[in-house]
Amino acid sequence: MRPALGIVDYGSGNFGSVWNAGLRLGLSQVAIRGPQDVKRCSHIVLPGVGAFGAAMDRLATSELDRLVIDEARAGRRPILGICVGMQILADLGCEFGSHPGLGLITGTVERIQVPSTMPLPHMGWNSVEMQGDSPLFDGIDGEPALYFVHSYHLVPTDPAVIAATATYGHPIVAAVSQGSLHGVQFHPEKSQEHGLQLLHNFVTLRV
Amino acid sequence: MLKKRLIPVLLLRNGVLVQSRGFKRYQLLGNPSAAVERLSSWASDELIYLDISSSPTYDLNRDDLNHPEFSNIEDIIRLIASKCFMPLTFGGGIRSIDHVETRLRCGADKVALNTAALDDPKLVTECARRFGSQCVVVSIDAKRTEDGWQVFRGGRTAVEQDPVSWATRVQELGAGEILLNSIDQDGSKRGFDLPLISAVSEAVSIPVIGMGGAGEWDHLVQVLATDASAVAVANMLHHSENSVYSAKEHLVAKGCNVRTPLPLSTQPRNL
Repeated sequence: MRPALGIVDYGSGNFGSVWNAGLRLGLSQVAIRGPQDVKRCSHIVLPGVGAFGAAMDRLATSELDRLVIDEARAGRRPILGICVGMQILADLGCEFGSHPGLGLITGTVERIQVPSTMPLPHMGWNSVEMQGDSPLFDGIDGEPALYFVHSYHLVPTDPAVIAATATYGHPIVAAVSQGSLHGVQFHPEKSQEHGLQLLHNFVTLRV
Repeated sequence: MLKKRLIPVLLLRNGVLVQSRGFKRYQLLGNPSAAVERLSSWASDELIYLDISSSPTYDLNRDDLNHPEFSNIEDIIRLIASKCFMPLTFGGGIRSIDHVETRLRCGADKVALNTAALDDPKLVTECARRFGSQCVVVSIDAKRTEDGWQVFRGGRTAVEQDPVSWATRVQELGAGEILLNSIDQDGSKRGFDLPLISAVSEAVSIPVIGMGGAGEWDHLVQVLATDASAVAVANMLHHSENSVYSAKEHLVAKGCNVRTPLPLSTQPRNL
């Protein structure tokens, strides 16, 4: 079956960029605004930029939070969270107060601890070290540089879900994989050929 | 490890891409979209698109060409964003928070504020609060004086500010990055104003992008040897084949901490 990429449309700033990346890959795409849209797609991307709490609020206002949780639990379709879209998969976010997340990956989202000479947000092309052999990185060799923009990072309780790390002062979780649920802290839609390759790999995943 | 960046800059003047010399003379290059695909090669790390129009009209004045015509900046940004799989900064003519929002909504990842930041410094803070520091670039045009440098407004009027203290101030106001251009070196091909770039990048902790004066690839190496996080190039990248790739290869060969480009044969490829 030809993959159809569903992109959760809850007012996230990078929705358009992810959509453009899907067009570049020649994918058929669906903007997910409700349960009927999910039926038309084989893979789901949860984009995200901005603050954790604001993203959760928007997702709840669009009544899409329940939908993402149900889909993740059912495991029928691979899901990829991008940036804040990955962070909100966790239990709890600590940006501007404590906010509950979707609770799909056990862990919290915390401010990156860096020496005062290193600026936050962590922004730019950072090399990424793969941990294990996540199929997300098929065909991407060595330590590719990918594009990051964030001040908070996901700290999963179970290190076994970590698929890649980046070093900015300290190690940062760059990618997670837990069954059919995946997340990347960097922006594949802004990471040129490696980013497009990763999105291509994602839509070829089978559950 | 965080890499240093090579950033092509496109200058748009009333709907036409131009080259600039000393902020005074402009040579026409043509259609605003044609160069985007060329410069969006996998070797670029980011793209900066500056609208230096003297009036808000966008007309290529070439109805004979089979190119799409653009009458507004929104359509131009949307088109660039659809081809740009890397961060896109858009600057020029931005005077209000609404202008910022429009440009981000059309697909820009960051906006560059220059005149607006000088006229209304609060705007920098407002943008940072609303959209995050990461998308606020403050662009500074500086010119040498007898004992240092002076900031210029609109490239023409001297302002009672020196670039080092102005950069420090906009960092406090919430700017996430500084695009530093030298009016003296702009279009000169004589190399960058390295003392200026060093002075500003040592004074602030946010990334500084050095611009103005590239005439050979070694000039870019010199900028990346300072504390600057990135080097921006405009004129030099036009009128030659695979120029961004050649520049990047040179930086890699000289040991700069930059992203290694894929072999030319593989880019940009269809997956």
